[in-house]
Amino acid sequence: MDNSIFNSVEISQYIYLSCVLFAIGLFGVLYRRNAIVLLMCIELMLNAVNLLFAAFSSYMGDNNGQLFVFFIMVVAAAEAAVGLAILVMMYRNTRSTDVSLMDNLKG
Amino acid sequence: MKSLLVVFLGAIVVLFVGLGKKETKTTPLALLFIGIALALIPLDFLGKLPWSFEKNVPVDMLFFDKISLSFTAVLLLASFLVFGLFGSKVQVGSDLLGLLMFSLSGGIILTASSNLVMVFIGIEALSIPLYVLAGSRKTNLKGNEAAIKYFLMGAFSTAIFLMGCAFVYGSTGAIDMETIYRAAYTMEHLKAVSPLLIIGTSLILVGLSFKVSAFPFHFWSPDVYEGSPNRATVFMATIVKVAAFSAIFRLFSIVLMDLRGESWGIVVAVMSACTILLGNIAALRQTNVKRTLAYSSIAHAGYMLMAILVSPEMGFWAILLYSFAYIAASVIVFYYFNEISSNRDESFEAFNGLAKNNKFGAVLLALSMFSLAGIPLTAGFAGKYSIFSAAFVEYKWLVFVALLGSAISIAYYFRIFKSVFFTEGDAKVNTTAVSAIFLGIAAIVILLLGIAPSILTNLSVFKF
Repeated sequence: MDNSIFNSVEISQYIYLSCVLFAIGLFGVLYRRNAIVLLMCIELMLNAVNLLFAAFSSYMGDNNGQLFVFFIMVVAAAEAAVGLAILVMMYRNTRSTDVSLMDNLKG
Repeated sequence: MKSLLVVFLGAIVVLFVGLGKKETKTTPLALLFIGIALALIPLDFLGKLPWSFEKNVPVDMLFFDKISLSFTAVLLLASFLVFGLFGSKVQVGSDLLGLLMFSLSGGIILTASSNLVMVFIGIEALSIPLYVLAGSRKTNLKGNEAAIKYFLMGAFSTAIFLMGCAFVYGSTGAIDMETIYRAAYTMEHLKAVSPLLIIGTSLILVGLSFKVSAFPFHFWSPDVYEGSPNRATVFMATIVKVAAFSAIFRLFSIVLMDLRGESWGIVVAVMSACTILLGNIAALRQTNVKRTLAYSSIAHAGYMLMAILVSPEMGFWAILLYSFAYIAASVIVFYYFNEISSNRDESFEAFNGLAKNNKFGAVLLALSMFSLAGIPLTAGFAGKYSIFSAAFVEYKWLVFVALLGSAISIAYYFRIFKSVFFTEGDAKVNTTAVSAIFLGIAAIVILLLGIAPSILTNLSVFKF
């Protein structure tokens, strides 16, 4: 697994970059109110994970991490499809994608 | 493996056979497939399967050992009861049944996964159909809210879980559990546990505790349980929880057991104590029965977390006994709630006077309340007893907290008991003969495991 782009940067740099991307996604999910932006933030988190898996995989010369990346991409696509369908359903009923309107359930 | 195939192929068959027909017409077919899958379990169990992956056993991505078979049996029994007791008489098409069966096959994958990829696939296959089911009442605003909350929290927790997997992969160099186990063992004995492994373990714990709704990641579950259709709620409360616990049990009690003292032991103990107290105290001040049951299921997740802390041999039987008790009692309670709340009254008063009109129902409801509260001679007591006695050696304070929690729980279970037996009212449930059979099965499970829990624990003689 001789990949010059991956090997010219240290593994720690990849870990920091993934953690930063993951944190941006995480705080996005916690602080944004638009459901579409929330979905994008979750995708950002998943892509941070993908980057980290690919980096570790290249660093250790082990294929399993890249296998995991493919599974994550496929399942994330399925999840996004269901999520968008739920969003459309929500938009039809409330004419909005603002999740803070969704506060009927309390207690 | 056979059970998984039967359920998965059954789901496809049910999906297509039921096209354009009423759902009640295809339910027997779905029950047949789940029944076959359940009947295949003892056949596999008597075979020469190991208890868990041990030395010199070739490990595939899916590995059906006796631990996974036992949890699969719980899942199949729970879905057998759910399919038999819950169903819509007006629903056309069997898409919801098919989705439930796909979700169930995800749960079976989760019990048998011996690789982090399969844990991930199992969680997603378990959850994605349930996001759809939670929102299956398309024009109901509460249903929409439940679906969107469940979806966002589910996807969010999966991302956190995956980040944990990435860190574990980075520190151990493997995604299959046996290599992770060896790496963790070596690191522990060399006193050189990689910080990446600790971070990864914590993130995996966070991701999975979202799924079982353990404190402090429980906040979504009362809302989602209340807004979802009753069948989806009971599915989430029983099957999702038990499947997620089987994954937690395998990952933490078996694979990462050597790191318990180093990293996650005290965290899980504190989480468990907080979950038990919060679930039970919050359940006390609810007026909606469904929310009360949601908080009570949070509390039960806390008791089950205690079993993760003890040695795998003791913890496994405790958690298995508790799961059987929990699913049987939950299904009965949710069935009566579903029947009584069909006229949109979800308060405790809706149960008033059930004992006068339906003696069978009142007795079953009382039995399952006793089991959930942990009164002796029910399966709930046997489960709680085995968990508490296993945890007492190392975590005495936790057992005291759990006993306090159980004492609090009697108060809100007694509220339903009081409505059913001592309050005048006109609650009515017309139980058909078929439903009575399914309720009877659940009641037999509660009584049998309550009077003779050794039926289950004696299975440990089938060793290799």
